[in-house]
Amino acid sequence: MKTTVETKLRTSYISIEGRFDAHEVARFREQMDDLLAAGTNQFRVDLSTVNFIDSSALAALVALSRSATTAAGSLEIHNPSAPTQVILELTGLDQALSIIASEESSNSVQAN
Amino acid sequence: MHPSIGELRQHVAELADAVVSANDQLLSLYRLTQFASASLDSNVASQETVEEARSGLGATGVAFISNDPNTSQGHTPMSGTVSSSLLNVAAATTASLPQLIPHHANPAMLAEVRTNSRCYGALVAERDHGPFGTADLKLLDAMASHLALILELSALHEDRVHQAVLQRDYDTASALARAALNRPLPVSTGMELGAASIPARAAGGDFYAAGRSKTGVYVALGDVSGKGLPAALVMTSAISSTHSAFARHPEGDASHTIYDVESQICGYLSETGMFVTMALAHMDLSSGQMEVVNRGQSPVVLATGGQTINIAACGPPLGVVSARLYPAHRWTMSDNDLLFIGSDGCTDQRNASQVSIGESGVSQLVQNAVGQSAQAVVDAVIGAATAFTVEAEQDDDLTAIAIRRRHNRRSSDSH
Repeated sequence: MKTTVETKLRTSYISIEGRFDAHEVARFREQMDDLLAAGTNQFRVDLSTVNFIDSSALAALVALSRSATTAAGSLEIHNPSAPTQVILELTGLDQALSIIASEESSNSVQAN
Repeated sequence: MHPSIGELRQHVAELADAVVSANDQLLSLYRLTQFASASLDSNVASQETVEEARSGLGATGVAFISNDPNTSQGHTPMSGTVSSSLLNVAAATTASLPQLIPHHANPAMLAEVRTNSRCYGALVAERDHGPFGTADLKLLDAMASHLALILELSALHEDRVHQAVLQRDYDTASALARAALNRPLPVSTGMELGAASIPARAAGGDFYAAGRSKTGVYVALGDVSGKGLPAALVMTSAISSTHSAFARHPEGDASHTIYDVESQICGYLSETGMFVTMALAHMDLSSGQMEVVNRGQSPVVLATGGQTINIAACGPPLGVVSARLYPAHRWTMSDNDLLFIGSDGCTDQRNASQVSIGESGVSQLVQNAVGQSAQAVVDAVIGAATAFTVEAEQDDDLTAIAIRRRHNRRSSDSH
């Protein structure tokens, strides 16, 4: 998994590429905890190039959503890839997380 | 012109000193080859090595400047006295070859502590009497290489210990999973149950449960997010909560029963940052009325009238949002209709070519086995998933439960 993070004020734009699973979750949580500690409370996570996501990774996103809300912010998931979108729907998490499809997010996911 | 007797004596004395010094260094090298640290703790081994190096070099002080913050933890293994200015020089140097350090208050030298794969830092030595020579530098380099090997060995040892701890957690998790699932399935006329679970090496927290109500039977299958011991511990709690919820709702109400389960465990799930996907069903044995609440479980497949229907999630997994009631899918099961609930291991497990069975594959397997017993359908899906991954490691639990209505079984059996 490759993660890139760009932060502007209190908003972090995070792009995840590849397999997002239990093996990668600890590092992802550490990165997000660091961002929270540095003051980020708006998280925009782009999942357009994630080719596999498992329940550990979904739990990490749910936990991040909670932390962001506690910090008076929010988590938005942008452009989930087709397999990720299927998993979000199968697990019902599309009803609990803020998911923004490609057309809606094309103007908002860029840091610039 | 021939040297004088005095000069010859001077040369002889210098040669004697050189021979003695070389002999001392040979002895030091010999002692180094005989030296073996009694500890595989990197800090202890580093301290023992600098003590040995100081003695062998006849130095005022020797120190190991580690470049690994986890190893040094602010502590510099040192023997004797090494000036802070030398420590600063050593920390800042990028030299890869052993070298005498010029322009320093006392004679000093440095050698990198390195193996082929990794640089651990530098070994520095200082002396307040007489300069270091080339032979001393080679001896320091030998000691630095020796220390690097010890540190490499220590790192390998720590890695093995870490692996052993992980393995112990996995074994405990698997034992918990086996113990938690070791309950007999209810037996009743009017229905037939089948279930199986094969934990992965890093048990994934899958579970199933079944129990009687006054009018029928409950079945449930869940999957705790994550793997290993944390998931297994939550899984045992979820199983207990599910069975107690069955008992508290003898009227047979899938919506309130799963709400009850979530109410019991959501506080813990919220604290641990985990969630539980779960499908819970109740079938009334006399009417065949089926209720299913699917909270993010997949696959959930109904086989009826020669076709299969996937039962979609009607809410997010348990523990994601505050507990609330979700309406159940409801229908009447005809005789021989079968509801199959599996864990995501059945659909997501990939073979060596990174291909998974998928939702449609599981539906097809259920369809193919639909004429057989509920246990045979479960075994067919789990068997296919196991065979599918024969060339790849099973990295998720494979768990399934199925319930079939056998409305006419008693009357047909009696004929």
